[in-house]
Amino acid sequence: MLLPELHDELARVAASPRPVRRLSGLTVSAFTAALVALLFAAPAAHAQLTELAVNVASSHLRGLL
Amino acid sequence: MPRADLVSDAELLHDHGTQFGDFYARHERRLLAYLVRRTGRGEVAADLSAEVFAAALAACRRGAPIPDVPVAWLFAIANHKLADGVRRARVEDNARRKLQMRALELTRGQVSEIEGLYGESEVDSLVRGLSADQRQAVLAYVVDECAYSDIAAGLQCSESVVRKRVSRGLARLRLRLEEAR
Repeated sequence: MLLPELHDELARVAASPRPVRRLSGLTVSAFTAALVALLFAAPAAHAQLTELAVNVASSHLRGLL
Repeated sequence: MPRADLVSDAELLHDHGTQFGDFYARHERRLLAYLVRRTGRGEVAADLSAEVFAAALAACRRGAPIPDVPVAWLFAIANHKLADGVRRARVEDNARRKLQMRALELTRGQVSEIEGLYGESEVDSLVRGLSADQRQAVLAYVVDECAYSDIAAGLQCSESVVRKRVSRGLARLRLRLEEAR
């Protein structure tokens, strides 16, 4: 092997635990704000909009996770 | 667990690249030979090679789909990094920084050894990628056309061991050639 140090370094990283992806506080705040704004914008269609907003937010969150 | 030299590249990259060290060992020489032919400098080839392997490992760790022919993917990354290097007039280290890898410190001997790969053919690289036992047996049987009994006498082992080494060595070369196509 020509570069054993590189091999060892790659093997070390490969064997180390993978970082867990977490949502940042900013992302969570943005989703919450968007959800609240949507609910207040159209009180007449409150129930339907709540369901829609929850579905959209959930799918976005799943995508991020 | 099966022997590393008997499993395919794709299998080595499964499970988020936990066996990436074996993948590196298998392709180090070929990639370095390719990069030194393209750049003409051992240090640059080593630097680029480290970045290419780091980028491949990072992709495995984030769960990117493993391509059917990982070695072709590796060389595609190398071409991309080469083009980036030419455009920016320096070798990137983004992937290595993301993985928090230590910087590579090369000795003069390593640089000259890498530069010695300049004239090495693809077949040379593949044969050198075999284990020492297999390489010795394959070269004696195929290139020197020695009989199994003569090789066994020279290596002080049984004929069946030599047959097994030749057979496994050739099988491994065949697999590598198919992957390289």
